[in-house]
Amino acid sequence: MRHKPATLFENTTTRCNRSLTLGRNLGARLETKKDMVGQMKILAVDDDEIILELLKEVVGAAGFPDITLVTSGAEALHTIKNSPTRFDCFLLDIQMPEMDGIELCHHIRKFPAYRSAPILMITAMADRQYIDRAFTAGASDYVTKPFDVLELGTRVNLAARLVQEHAAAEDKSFALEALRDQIETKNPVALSEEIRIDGVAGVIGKLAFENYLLQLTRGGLFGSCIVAFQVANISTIHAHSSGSDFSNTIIDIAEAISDNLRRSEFFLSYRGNGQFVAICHKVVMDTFNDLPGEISMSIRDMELVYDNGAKMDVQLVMGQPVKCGFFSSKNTLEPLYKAVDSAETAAQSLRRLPKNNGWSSKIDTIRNRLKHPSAKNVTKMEMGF
Amino acid sequence: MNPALSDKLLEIRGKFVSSLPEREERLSALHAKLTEGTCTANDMDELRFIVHKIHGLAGTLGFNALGSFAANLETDVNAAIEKGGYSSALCDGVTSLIGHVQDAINT
Repeated sequence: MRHKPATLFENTTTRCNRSLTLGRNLGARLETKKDMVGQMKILAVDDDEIILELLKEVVGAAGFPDITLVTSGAEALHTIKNSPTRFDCFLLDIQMPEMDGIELCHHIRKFPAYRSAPILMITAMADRQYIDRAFTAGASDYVTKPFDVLELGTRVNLAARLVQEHAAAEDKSFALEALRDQIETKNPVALSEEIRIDGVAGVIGKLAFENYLLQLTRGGLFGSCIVAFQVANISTIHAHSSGSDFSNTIIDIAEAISDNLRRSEFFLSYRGNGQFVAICHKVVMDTFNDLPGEISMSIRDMELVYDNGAKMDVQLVMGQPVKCGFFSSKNTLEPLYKAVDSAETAAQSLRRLPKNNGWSSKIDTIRNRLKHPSAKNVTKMEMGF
Repeated sequence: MNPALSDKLLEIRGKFVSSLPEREERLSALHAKLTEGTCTANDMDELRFIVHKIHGLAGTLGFNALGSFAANLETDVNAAIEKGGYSSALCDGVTSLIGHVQDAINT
């Protein structure tokens, strides 16, 4: 098994508008653990002592008094290595001498204990290249200076809830491991769970993806495209897979999508329920036309099989790409939801097709056409739009 | 905002203002080098660093005009560093920033 799902998000944050509204299930669960939030141990790194003092006061007022302040990346790493207890959250400046915050973020992610810890970049660097580098290095959120002190408190609260999600997920993992020893469960990974995907180019977590999109819209950095993919027969695949089998299938699909998106700058995220979403920059809309066929061919070339050796048929559809620039409202996830809805609609259409007119025959047709340059272009209708 | 945090923010704002004369002094020295045409790559980096810090702090602590001006000047300094040269407009920008810093000190 190449990967093991370490992060289990179930009914995680429902992020409307400013991304701060938590799902009812999570909210209710968190209410009962409210006292734990105040115990979150934070490490803040900034070479400016006035900013550090400001962070200490703002974050303290938000209910997180346990904050350690350091002024450089080297000092941060030393503190992490020598801390008797684990930090729960990191606040990093980007522009620092010697080791910048992005490099520090990358180093922190190398510690197994901090693979999923929230890392908030708090920086005056508002250019997309810095935002992209930060999320690529593993940042969970990005706050630009000058910041609103109340909003910073809210964002740290959101990070605290993420910490609790991880804690709950770890508890659940232990319980599942124990159960697995006792009873034979077919698939302990829930269909809706976010599966951690490491080592696939451009892939970031679901929450990081949403924060990334929000950061772009906050800064008015439009001109990008969001496109969602849905595995139409994900329930069937899930029902016939073991936990690790299912996780590896999701990772393989992510790899196939990532490989075929490489012609543009992009981030990709798995949202659970067989749903992937990508944000692509500097891409011509027409290039999306052949994408679903190409990705499906990559998946088919992987010759995926179930644990019992039976052939796995993955029916992936792509929704209509949504241009972020079409939305005037800032600080919303509206384009994301529109893209996701489109992919779901495409998946529903595919499910309604008769079996003998199904996906495999479509792929064969498209494969043949791509092999023969004289053949006409693959149309959107054929790809399940 | 709770009163205790408000008081603390005022205190931090005071510290920021206290730090401005030193930043102003450095900016003036760098401005002189820009005017003389003796500004080195290290000096440009230092200029970027000072402007960046003012950009990050000023707006958060309520000095909006100073913060916005520093943000724009930071873009110009970055462009100059990338280009490997600077124009008289950059010198004028630093002069104006020094003016904004003095305004903040006097406020």
